[in-house]
Amino acid sequence: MGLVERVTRDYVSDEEQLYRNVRSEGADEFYYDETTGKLVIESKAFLDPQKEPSVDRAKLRNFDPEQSRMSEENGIVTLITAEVRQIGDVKTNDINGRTVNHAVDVKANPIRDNKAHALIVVEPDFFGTESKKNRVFKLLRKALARLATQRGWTLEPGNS
Amino acid sequence: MDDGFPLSKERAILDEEDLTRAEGRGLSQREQLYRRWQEDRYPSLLETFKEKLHKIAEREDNWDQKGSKKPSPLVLSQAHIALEYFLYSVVCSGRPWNPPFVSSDEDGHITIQWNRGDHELHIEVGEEGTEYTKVWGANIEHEMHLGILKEKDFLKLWDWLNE
Repeated sequence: MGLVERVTRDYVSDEEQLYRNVRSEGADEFYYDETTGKLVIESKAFLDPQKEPSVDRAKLRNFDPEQSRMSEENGIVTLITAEVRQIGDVKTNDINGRTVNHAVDVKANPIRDNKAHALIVVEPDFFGTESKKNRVFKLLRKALARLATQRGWTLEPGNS
Repeated sequence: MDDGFPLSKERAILDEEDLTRAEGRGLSQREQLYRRWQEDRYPSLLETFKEKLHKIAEREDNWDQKGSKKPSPLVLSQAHIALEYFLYSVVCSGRPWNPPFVSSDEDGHITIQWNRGDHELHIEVGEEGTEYTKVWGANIEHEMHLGILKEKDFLKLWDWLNE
């Protein structure tokens, strides 16, 4: 594969759909509101130790969410790349008190078993104390969870 | 910082009594409302909180296989006080109560969450204090607001949630 072809293939375009695996009820990654019965995807669904939640590029999964589901009890939600990028700048202060803007992006990250693998990242990386980084990452996850909640299930838990 | 969480249940009751005394005619209606709740739904709602927190208390470190910490007994007890206070404030003010989703996060904090239309209210109870996040869109800079939760502000947040 040539360089241009590879760059084109690895660039995640704005209109691309992204699948995220949401684990079943014991993990508290979603719930149904007791009053309205409405599905709510929790920010916990986007928890990631590296602070770079994994997603699958739908077009490289042949738009088959089943391929991204890790177990039958889990569900799949869909995000749109442009909406993720529009989450906006995440701001932190450096040690000199200067505000640094971190842009939210989606980067292709093909791995051996999954060519569709991509990461939701912030650039530049978060810095500062662990609690400061966690606090900012929690806001990013809340934004992602809200976007996922708006679209609802692409594949409901337990359905095949 | 005596107006932050956690606050004692007794303090909350005293504050409410002061408030109702000052409001004169409103006292009997609110008392009646409160008594009705006290006898009817209030105990069962308190029991629900207790059960939820009891279930969360059984979590061990890495309960979610993502490295999340288990909540400490102190955080659990502060969350219980906070939940009781939220319920008490809402009921005594005559506003309708909506049950929250209660869980714990990766830091071992108790998370309390309500979603109403476009508005989300997230409350996070930790050993070092209680914070809230208002969310009304996905843009972090313009559609989210974070703050330290003070008891006097809870009903304002509740009203914003239900706008």
